[in-house]
Amino acid sequence: MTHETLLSVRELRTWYELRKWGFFRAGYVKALDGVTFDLKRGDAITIVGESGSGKTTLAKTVLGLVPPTQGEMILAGEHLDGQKRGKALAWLRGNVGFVQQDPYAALPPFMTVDRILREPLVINKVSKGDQDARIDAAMGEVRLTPQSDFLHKYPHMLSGGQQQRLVIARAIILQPQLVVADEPVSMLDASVRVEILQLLRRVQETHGLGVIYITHDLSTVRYFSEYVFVMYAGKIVEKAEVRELIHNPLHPYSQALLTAISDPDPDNADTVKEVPAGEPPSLAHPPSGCRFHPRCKHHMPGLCDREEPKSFEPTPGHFAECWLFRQGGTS
Amino acid sequence: MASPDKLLRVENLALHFRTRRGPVQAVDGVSFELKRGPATVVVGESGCGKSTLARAILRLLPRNVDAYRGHVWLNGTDVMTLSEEAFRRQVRWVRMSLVSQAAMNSLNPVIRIGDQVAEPLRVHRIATGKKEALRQAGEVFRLVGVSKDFLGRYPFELSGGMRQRAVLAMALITKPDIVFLDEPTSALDVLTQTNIMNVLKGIKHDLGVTFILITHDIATSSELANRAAVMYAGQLVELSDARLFFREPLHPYSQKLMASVPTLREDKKLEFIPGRPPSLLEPPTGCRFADRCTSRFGKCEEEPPFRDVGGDRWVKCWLHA
Ligand SMILES: Nc1ncnc2c1ncn2[C@@H]1O[C@H](COP(=O)(O)OP(=O)(O)OP(=O)(O)O)[C@@H](O)[C@H]1O
Ligand SMILES: Nc1ncnc2c1ncn2[C@@H]1O[C@H](COP(=O)(O)OP(=O)(O)OP(=O)(O)O)[C@@H](O)[C@H]1O
Ligand SMILES: [Mg+2]
Ligand SMILES: [Mg+2]
Repeated sequence: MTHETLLSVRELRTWYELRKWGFFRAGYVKALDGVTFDLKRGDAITIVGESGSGKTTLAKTVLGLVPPTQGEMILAGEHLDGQKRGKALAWLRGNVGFVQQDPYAALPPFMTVDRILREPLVINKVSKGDQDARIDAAMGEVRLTPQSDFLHKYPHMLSGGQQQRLVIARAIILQPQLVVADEPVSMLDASVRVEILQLLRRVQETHGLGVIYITHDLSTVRYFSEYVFVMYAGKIVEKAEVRELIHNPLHPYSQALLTAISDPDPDNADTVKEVPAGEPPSLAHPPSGCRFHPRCKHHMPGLCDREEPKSFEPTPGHFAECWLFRQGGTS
Repeated sequence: MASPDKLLRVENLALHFRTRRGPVQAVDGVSFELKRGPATVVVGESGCGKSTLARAILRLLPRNVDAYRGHVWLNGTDVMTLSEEAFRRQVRWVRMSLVSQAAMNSLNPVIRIGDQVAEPLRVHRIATGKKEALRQAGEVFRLVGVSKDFLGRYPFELSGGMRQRAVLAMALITKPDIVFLDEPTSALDVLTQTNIMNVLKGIKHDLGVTFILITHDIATSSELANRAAVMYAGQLVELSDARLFFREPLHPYSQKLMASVPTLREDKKLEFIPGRPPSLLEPPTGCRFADRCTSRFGKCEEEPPFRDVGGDRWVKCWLHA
């Protein structure tokens, strides 16, 4: 595994225009607002965040499905912005695979498994002989076997888990360098979730793929990647190794999240958990300064409500965008 | 028939739906009983019949009912024998209410939230006059942690968490004995979910409402559970004191299900269950879990009884019969 950078994202912003009467600009939804990270070739990272925190927007921006408003994205040395965007996008489509949240919606209902997997190969002009071999291999990898049992089925004839495996097969069939998996298991039952996560992990390791796994469920993270980013209201507020985050969360939001998540334990019924009240802010009118400050018990008036925190690195490899760590020096 | 300390007793309840491909046995032969006070959680995977079970007990039936039978004793009365009119006047929403799976998104957008929450009082002629109804709505609002100022607002002016509290208030306003909560927090973010679970704990403790929480989220279910029930393919396969259940589930399906739940704090080797649940169109005649079960033996071709194995535990498995 080479450890060069596969994807480099700098100060990325994706704002959606809000329109009044369908015409006048009425402001922006700042769904992604200054996100910076690197992904090394062959690494897996997880992005965890709650509903509306901007996870899908991040996925779609990296996939070239929505244009960034500002910032820089470099994938395998290619700049994915500016004038060359058109050309870069075509290249991107062949090099990044996408696993969507809802497998059923992701699959065209009137196509057989065979056609669903063949289509990207045809579009990318893979020779007929190679097509069959690639389809066979991809299906083998996601364990849709024996292949002949599945090739002529339509999506509705597959279980949710099988549909999601098909979506993964389609995402890897062009042998991409990067796969973005947006909530790949959240629509599935607990009993198959693990199977799909483990499968994705195995595919990632055997091919040295870069994978961005997006989830709202922090409890699945340690079963997938070593590194995790926490998103809140359009920003990455903390980056750390999974174990480090679980045992030593720095950002007050991450701390609240960890308190809130239950493990199946009967003692839970007898305890009341202390978590901040309120709900995530509107991204059209985010709070000034730190976006978490109105809910934060460590809120320092005059600082947190005025200035956006920088990214601090109080212990090596562990970053938090929070003024509490300002002595630690910026990164 | 029912012993006096039992608040609810369900016996052989079945609800089948008519479909083009044949009857769907969504709930099939469910029996259990519960006392006043302790909260019961019903867990199981998508499509196993959890919501249908609540609907069958509350007699909230769609048009395509194929079969509906069994007994539901509430405080010793078999409410299945009541006419629809009597059931509506005496039972539904008066003694047992429901926060349905999509409730928070099906609030009427053009009616003020206070009026919607007070509606059951007017329908059941419990409160006299609009002013009194609104006063009582304000009171349940306080219970669920919403300021009275919200009474005059419209649903779109409320966040998801506030709307969920409002539908909870609507289910509590008639002071029912039993409240069914069908996936009350699944659509909410984790911190809001925790805040709402805290509210439910408080209400359970202060008002003594008997909650039946339906969810596929086993970890979160432990936040309210005094007892745990597991459904599989339209049937209850286990019902148990929660302390015993979370430590050591007895049914092979419950064991596998628990082994598939990820844990945040402890390292655990996760398992998954190969295969998929049987079709409810023609479920197997024996144990419905048998063909996925690693402990299967000859006897499993017959349907196991749902047996009391002692210590407030029931299991539907030949290993425990
Ligand atoms: N096309 C769009 N136009 C306007 N606003 C949008 C658009 N897509 C998303 N948003 C808004 O941007 C914010 C972030 O949305 P996004 O889908 O990225 O969140 P998410 O973290 O993926 O949430 P979820 O967990 O619910 O999938 C939300 O407030 C959403 O309403
Ligand atoms: N009105 C209906 N007509 C026909 N089939 C139905 C009807 N309502 C439910 N079903 C079927 O009955 C079965 C049980 O459904 P139910 O909604 O009770 O499951 P559930 O356990 O609540 O699932 P979920 O976790 O997805 O909410 C499913 O197979 C469902 O498709
Ligand atoms: Mg999303
Ligand atoms: Mg349901």
